[in-house]
Amino acid sequence: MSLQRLRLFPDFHNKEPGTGPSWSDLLVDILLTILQHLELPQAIAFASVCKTWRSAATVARVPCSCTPWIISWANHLEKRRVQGKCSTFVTCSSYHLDVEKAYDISFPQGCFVACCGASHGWLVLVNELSNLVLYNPFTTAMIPLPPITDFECVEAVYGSGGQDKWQVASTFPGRLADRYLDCAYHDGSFYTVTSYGLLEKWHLDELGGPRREELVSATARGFILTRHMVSTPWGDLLQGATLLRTPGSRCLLSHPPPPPRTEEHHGGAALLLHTPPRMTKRASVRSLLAASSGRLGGAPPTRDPGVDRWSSFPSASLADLCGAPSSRRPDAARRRHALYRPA
Amino acid sequence: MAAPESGDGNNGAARMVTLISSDNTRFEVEAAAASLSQTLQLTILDGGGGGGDGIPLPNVDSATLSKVLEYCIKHAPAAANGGAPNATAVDRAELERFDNEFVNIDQSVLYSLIMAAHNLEIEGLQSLVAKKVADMIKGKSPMEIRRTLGFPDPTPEEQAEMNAHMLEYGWAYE
Repeated sequence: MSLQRLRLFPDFHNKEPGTGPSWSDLLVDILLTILQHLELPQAIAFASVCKTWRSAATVARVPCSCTPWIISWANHLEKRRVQGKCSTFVTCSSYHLDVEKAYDISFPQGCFVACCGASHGWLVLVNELSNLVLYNPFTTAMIPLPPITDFECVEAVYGSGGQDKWQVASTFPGRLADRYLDCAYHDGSFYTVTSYGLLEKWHLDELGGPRREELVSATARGFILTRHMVSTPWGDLLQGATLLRTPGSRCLLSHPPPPPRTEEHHGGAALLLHTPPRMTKRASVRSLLAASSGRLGGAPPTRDPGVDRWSSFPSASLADLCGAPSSRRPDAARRRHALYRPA
Repeated sequence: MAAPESGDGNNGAARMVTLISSDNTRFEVEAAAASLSQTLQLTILDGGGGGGDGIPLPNVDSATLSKVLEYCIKHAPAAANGGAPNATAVDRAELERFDNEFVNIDQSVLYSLIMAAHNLEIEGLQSLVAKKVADMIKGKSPMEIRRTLGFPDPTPEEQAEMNAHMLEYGWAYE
């Protein structure tokens, strides 16, 4: 090692002109104090700057892999309920499963009312004008989607690439209590699921508009709090549903149509989302288990032996995960967590 | 933690210590101020730095040391009160204003300060300067950060590594 490298304190005032401070040689301890003041997107930019900074970011457990993120805006919604309508900058917590640590992400003013989901590194946000925008929380790039305000009551829409036009695919009459809870693009088709369990597949390339195929008809009533669908990298489409049960709640995960297997998980306060590419199908199903309990609140989640990995939301409650059933908030505000995967 | 006797006591004059910079400039300063440095505190508690001896600081030049001491002198009264429940809002606002002004400096000075604050273990100063650097980084892409802080152009290998990392998170190449 050269003498220069061994000196802890280079003396810049005596340096020859033209040579500035060597920020890339800062001690890891110092870099860590800088990192403490950075939110997630900046922390990741920090990690890209150079080798030394990246190693500091690794020590600080700034996640640098493609493992999905869980983004929670439960705290934000809670704050909004307390303070009334707020149009300040929104800050969400974001959890990375590799490091099991929360980071803050701030959104530009007015662009975040709710998050509808995430895909290919983009979050789908609902802004204050009720329009949809794609937002990359790391680069802060934003792409507005065509406005949907033309529709009186939009229940499900689709648009194909390049077309600047959206088309209503299906609506529920207002008097029916059923409503769409989630929509997923999987294996070339769109799938939708309703609160009563109606599972539909949409064929978009047909002449004369989208064709609907009913895979599972509506059955369950009353005690389903929410349903979500996940298209997995290994080619499955999974459906997760949260059931209201006394004394707690439980979450089911299944392969639609008619569930070939169902995993159950009781109690706890964990939300589990993990998609390691090498896992077997069965293990993957288990690892996608989601469970929540309004009663246990911040109690430490118990680890299910069948679950490969888990991450907990310290503040998550049943209401955080899916919205209280009696809530009159718009649907868009009901989902509070999204699985986010960098592109 | 037992603070060194300060000027508020019965002894009248505050105890002074002498610090010697790398370029042999001597700085005489109240022990209470110098004791903000964890590194110096033990030496001072042991009675060092008084009289003609002085504490040599071979790693801190005079320009940086005078800046560091400016911070310590300003912050010493509040620190002596130990978190100061009796500090008024005016006092706190004044300190905040001072801090903001204090780090409004050239980045080479900022760099020397962050090194000195680390070496002397002055917690408040470390945090203050780190926050300033963080503010300079905020909202910038990795390449912009490099340009802001005057990094040399990346080597091809460095560039490739950066590209891979940036691609993962959706930054455009530059």
